[in-house]
Amino acid sequence: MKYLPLFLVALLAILSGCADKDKKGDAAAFGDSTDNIYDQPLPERSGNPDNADYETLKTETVFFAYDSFTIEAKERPKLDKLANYLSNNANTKIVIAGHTDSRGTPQYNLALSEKRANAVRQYLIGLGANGGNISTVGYGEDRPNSEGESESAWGQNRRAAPGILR
Amino acid sequence: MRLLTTLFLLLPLTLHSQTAAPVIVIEQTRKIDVAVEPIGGSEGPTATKVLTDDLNRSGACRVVPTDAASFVLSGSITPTGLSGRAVPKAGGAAVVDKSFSGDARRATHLFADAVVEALSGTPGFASSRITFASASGAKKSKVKEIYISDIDGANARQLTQDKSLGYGPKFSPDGSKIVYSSDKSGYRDTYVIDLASKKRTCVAQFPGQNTGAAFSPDGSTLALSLSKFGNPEICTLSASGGTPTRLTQTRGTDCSPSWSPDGARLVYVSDERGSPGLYILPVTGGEPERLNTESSYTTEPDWSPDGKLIAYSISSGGGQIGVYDLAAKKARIVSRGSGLESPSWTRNSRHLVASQNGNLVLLDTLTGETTKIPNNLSTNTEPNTSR
Repeated sequence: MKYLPLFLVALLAILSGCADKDKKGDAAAFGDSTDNIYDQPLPERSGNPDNADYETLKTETVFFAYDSFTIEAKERPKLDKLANYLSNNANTKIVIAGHTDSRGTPQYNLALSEKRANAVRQYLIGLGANGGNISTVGYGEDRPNSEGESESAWGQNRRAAPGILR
Repeated sequence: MRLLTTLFLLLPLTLHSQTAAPVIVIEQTRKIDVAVEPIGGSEGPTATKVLTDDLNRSGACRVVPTDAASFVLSGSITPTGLSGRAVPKAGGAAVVDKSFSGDARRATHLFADAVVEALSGTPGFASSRITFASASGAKKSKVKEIYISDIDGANARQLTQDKSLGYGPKFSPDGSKIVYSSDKSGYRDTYVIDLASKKRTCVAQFPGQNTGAAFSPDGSTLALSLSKFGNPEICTLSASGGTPTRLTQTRGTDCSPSWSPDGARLVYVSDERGSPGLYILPVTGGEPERLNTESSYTTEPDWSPDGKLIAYSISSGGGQIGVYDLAAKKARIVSRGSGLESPSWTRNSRHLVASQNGNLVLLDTLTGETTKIPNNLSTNTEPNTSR
């Protein structure tokens, strides 16, 4: 149950009196499973993710566990930095490109990679970013970072990379 | 007339601990022995070989010498196709006596299907076609184009020249169109190709991804996965495009819808309860029902043409194919070996076309046997069979 730890984190947040869910990425990205009030519809498309600049914000690439779209605590400082970048560049449009490792089947990997990109987008919105400037794309397993087939290669490939649209 | 009798052998199998579906059920099917006389005409030798291969692949017949046969097949190539006959060796009326049109290969496939149907009571699939994606190029910058071929691998032809990532091609029920998704615009959109006119129409280009589309049995509607809501959800959409109807409301990733043959329900993949599993939902919406396949990480469901079975991929065991029986509410693993995925039923609701480590194979779900579908292409994925 990949949601259980998140549920506990959310519960802890509520118990500790932190009810400001809009400011908390956790609730925005994962929430509870009862409704979709935190889902933010995607903006109309702009730019072409194929030609986006994935170098400038490369260090803000978020990595994921196997078959998970949970943004782990150790990855969150990257998104604080990215949200900060977006607030300093209010007219910049970015795309979050999600990826999976080579295990699993094509359509599910496409959906999972898109879900990873969506989770990052929701988290950024939770931090106050303008969702209208954040598009998503999912590449499944077909644009790997590393060509290897090992735990470490898979770990490098399970990612969501921010790119500046131009 | 149903001449097939079956024996059941239960073979317990040592399985990966995560993969709990207990046994492979192997049915030894008794095949009908047929003899094939050399087909006349300049293309006769080719047709004779095609017919022999089709019958052996059918699972219903076995080609044997004339002395051992129950039925004898003969035919000749004509200007418009093939004239074929199947007669009982013991004497009596022909069970097939008909002309089949098309080039030699096509007409021979139609003859094979007529023989299989007459002798076994179940449809043959030799005249079916398959569509699939094939990858080329470096691993980090590969392209995947959409192809079509006969189900025996012959007549492979490239349909797209997108130089981008193409996924999940599927035939319309009448076989005249193929729907697939591609990121050739930069984002993953859904396109319909009309095979006769070679025209392509973009039918879904909403924000986010538009993928995994499947035609409804009447051809009017597509079911697909859209993420425009901020999350991949199962939706339906007119086959010519328009405004989508959202069917799922989950926090998980919902994808890979497949229609029941009556068009009333969809089976799809969701990971809302952890690892991906299979769910059934009425097309009018409502509460999804989870299928207990006893395996974890199950994806790519395909509803059989007779409505009774759902085939799916099991990734947790290294790539196997499972079949869920809806009436018995029981799942079984029907493949041997590993690296199998993307099952697609043929017309007889018994054989599946699947991919195995980049090759295409025909899998007999009653025996677990696979037959390679040869072509000269690399990394073949997501095959779909025409009905």
